[in-house]
Amino acid sequence: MSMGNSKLYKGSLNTIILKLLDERGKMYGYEITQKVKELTKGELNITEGALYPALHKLEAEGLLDVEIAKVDNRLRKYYKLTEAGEKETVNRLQELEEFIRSMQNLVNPNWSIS
Amino acid sequence: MPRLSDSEIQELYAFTRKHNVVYFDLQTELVDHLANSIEEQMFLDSQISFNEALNKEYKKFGVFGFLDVVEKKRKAMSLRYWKVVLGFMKTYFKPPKILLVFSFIFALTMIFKAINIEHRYNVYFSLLLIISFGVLTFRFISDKKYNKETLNNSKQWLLKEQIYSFCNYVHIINLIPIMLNLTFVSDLIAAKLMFEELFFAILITTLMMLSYIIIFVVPQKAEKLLEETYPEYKLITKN
Repeated sequence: MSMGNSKLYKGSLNTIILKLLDERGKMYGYEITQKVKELTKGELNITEGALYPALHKLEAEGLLDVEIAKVDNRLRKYYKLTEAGEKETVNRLQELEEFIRSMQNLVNPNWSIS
Repeated sequence: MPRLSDSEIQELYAFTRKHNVVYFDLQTELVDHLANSIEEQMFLDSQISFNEALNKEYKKFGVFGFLDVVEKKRKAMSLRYWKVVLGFMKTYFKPPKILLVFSFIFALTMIFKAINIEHRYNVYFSLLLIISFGVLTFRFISDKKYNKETLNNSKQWLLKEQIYSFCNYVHIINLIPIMLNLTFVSDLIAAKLMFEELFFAILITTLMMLSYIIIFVVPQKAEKLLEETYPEYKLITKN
């Protein structure tokens, strides 16, 4: 894994989290770390130390809501999208798609002689 | 999948405390994370011990361990705190309160205008200092109250601590007289370049409203805010 690669992913960590929660409803911290690693095929070496701050920031911004459930002999904190979070997810995914499209044009320009 | 015992969960709580996580909600989240990882590691490798698995997972948090998580949590919580304060502040800018606010600003401006220009700067400065000292005094009282409460209750909540220590408001308010002491500000006032009476009337009124909200209104609503912020708060404090 190159350093540059990891930087590209890092910028989109929030978007990845929002998208995951959008698909799966509610998730807890450990589940999210595992899923993010799986999705990015280990390319994005997000440390656990980066994931929780990202979650807490999204929560403070009002994009995520939390729920507590007793699982086995311990408490588990679940995250889910708020209404504002759902809207923001749509926006960020659109932005990301546009970004990907312009990057594709940059990397692989469509030469045409008119 | 192997399951950790109650005493092992308590050990994990002790582990987070040992690594500078004093807030219960953060402890709980990290304990669940560590427990999940340890259980999974034990499932994949039946030879691995509890402590080995714990250290392996803790290393993934990087060289600073939980410090970074705690520090960033504090920042995120300050953001929430200020959102609450601004929410209360907004109520002053709706009728009928807004009339009171505007009349107060107008009255202050008139009083400042009536004061001889040579003494005006001292008046502004003294008023700001009085507000500053007032906030500091209340902070002292509030801190004492908070410490007494947390002494009886082992669980600490970050938002509660911020509510009772007025978050970073004390730092902000202490900076204002220092900033105004800069000569260029006094030069500006002396040069009559600004509409300075109105500026100070607005500044002082705003600070008075902010201080009132932070010292009296928010702590009064503390329990409700804590219940809204921490879904486990009720669960824990009722038991």
